[in-house]
Amino acid sequence: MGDTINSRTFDAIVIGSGMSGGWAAKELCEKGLKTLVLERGRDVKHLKDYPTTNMNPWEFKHRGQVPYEIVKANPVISKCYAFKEDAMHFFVKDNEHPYVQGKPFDWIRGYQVGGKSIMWARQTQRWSDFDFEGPQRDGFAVDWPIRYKDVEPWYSYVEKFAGISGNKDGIPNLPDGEFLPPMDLTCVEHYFKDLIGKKYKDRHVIYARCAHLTEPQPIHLAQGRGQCQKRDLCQRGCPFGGYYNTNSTTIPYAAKTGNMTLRPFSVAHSIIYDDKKGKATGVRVIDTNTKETIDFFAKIIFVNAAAFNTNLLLLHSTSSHFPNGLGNDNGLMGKFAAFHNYRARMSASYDGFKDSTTDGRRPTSAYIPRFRNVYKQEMDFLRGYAATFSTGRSVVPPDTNGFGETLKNKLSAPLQAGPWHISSQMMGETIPKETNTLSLDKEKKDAWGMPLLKISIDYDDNEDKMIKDFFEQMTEMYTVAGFQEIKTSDSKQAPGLDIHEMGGIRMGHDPKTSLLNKWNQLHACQNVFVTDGSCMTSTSTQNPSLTYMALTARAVDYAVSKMKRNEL
Amino acid sequence: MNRRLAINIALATAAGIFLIPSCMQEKSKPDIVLKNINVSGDQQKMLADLAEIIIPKTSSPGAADLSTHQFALMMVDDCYDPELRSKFEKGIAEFESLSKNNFGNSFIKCSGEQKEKLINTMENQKDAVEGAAFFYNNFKKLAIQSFTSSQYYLTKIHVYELVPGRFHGCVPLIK
Repeated sequence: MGDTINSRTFDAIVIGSGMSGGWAAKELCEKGLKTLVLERGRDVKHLKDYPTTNMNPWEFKHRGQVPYEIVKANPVISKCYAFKEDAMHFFVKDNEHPYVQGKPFDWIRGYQVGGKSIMWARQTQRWSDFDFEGPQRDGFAVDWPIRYKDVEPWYSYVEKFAGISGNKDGIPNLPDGEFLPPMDLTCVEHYFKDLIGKKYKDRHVIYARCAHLTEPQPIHLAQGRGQCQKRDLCQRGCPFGGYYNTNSTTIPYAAKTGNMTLRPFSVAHSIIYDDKKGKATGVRVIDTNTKETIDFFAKIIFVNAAAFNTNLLLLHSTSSHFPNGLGNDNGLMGKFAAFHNYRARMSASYDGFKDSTTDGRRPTSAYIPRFRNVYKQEMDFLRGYAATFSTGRSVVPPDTNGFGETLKNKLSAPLQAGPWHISSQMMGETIPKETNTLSLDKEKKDAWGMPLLKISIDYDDNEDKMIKDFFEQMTEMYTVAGFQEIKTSDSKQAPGLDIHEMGGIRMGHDPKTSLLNKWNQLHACQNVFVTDGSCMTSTSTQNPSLTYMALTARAVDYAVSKMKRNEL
Repeated sequence: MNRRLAINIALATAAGIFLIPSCMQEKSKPDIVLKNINVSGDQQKMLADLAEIIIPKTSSPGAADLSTHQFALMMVDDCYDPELRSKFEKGIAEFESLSKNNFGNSFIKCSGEQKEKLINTMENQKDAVEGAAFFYNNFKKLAIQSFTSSQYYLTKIHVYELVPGRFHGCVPLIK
């Protein structure tokens, strides 16, 4: 088939192949639509393209450390906890993909098939109506056009396919899901859970829900995935398919329908809008190898380029009808961006359970769901925070004084267990504000001629007050538990390292105050659906990926049913 | 290279005059090629010797078996920032000077007793931020890393499991 408009015409185009794009691809293809999936980076095939996955520590030239020249050339990405010798090939280098920091923002990206789903932290907590009703109750942003009941079946749908481990805890603000068995808690975590449960009626310590196959079901075995082997090396890609990523699941499922055309090395330049038809007709793409511009056409378009790049793309999709970006009639596109506040950490030690320890490794932690401002506004800050809770036996570092055989003997002696080490990280909801903006830089362009995204996002005193409360409350709970050496630390890190950037193209009831309707359709261009993090009206405290997956599957179901009735 | 010649070179270099034709320099070839730090073949030989003293071959592999000094140099060369690289580089020279000043010999030519004496002096300067002790402390740290992250250590001493296949949250501690 030669290069004709016909050969470049599909039923649907999905822009992006990460966490949400993978779901759009799978659902569209399974519903029989010929689908083009665009990915700006290279292809990453499950198993085949995980070069470090089976390497032992001594096989890494720098034993895991990132060489200085790479750190120096990439100051932003080097701040990311997972940017180490074993997984740095999955992260975007600063100098290759520049952006403009209107205010300090550490933008962590992964440009490849699978996107950041390869390196994500795999935490999958559902939202509840305490989250969806937040903006309306507390008077910020706009009301979400959906409620928990709208998403609930879609959470179940994606959870069953992805494989989520967890425990049915019956906590109203953290709904239970379709769980595989949870991973174990440690002695100290059990102790803390029981104690906190007794002492505070509204505070819980639970098994974090996470995308690991603790007990694979037939659907997971059919995907070629197996039980999680507790390697805790997930960021490399898993040889067992023990955790959920796009590469081992949705993309191969889309491919096996025969309906998917996957096109890596394709930067989306803009969405093409036809004034006469009043809808989008396709996507203009820049081939990153040839720098050639190619137009592809389709009846519907799913935008899943990752939250902030989706903002960039839509702002760049201008036409005489939409001079300020596709669907941006109200001028709100790129505003009300938000993130999660990850600045605050706690640590402590515990002298109890001296005769016990853990065995093996655990790629997750315990979790403390939000307990502040849940049923009513009660603090001097809006919303609240969740926290990780993790414990393990510390190891007494060997005495390294001296040299020679004496030193070697000391290094080779059996390891001595120290006290239990305890740590928590806050995950705070931030309030989307009109002043937190994403815009196109007027002059600077990248290697493909695309304008650079300018990110101007900041904390405010709501974050400071929340951090103060987190420190106070965790210190109180740690003290009640008899933990010692309690330490607080505020990293003061810039927004972005949470890797939970959201918003800019928010959902809402009213086209005057939002960009997307309750089906993730652009109010002003109804055959374009935006289902990645950019659609988020508020941020809640939960890790957002599971919600993107559910919203995507839900939106595809709606889009295809509308198409079949010729209503799109 | 004999000692007299070495002293001549040192003097000549110090005076800014280099009289010995290059064909006469019997310098050792470096073991590894370095991009950022300048460590001569002779210095590398000294480092190999020092590494073997810190991590000697016993019933378990020693520094020579583990390519410890090459590992340490590679780590300094690749992973240290320019300030630390330069301090390390200078520290090597100062370590050698100490050896010469104290024992009239480069480290490698010192007796076992003399070497131990010098190393013990270094061991007592844990907080050094520059100079010979800074070099020694960093070199030793890397030598220890070379041993404790080696295949031998992680398969025979404290076994690293690539695939644990389990996580038990509460088991008896075996002492």
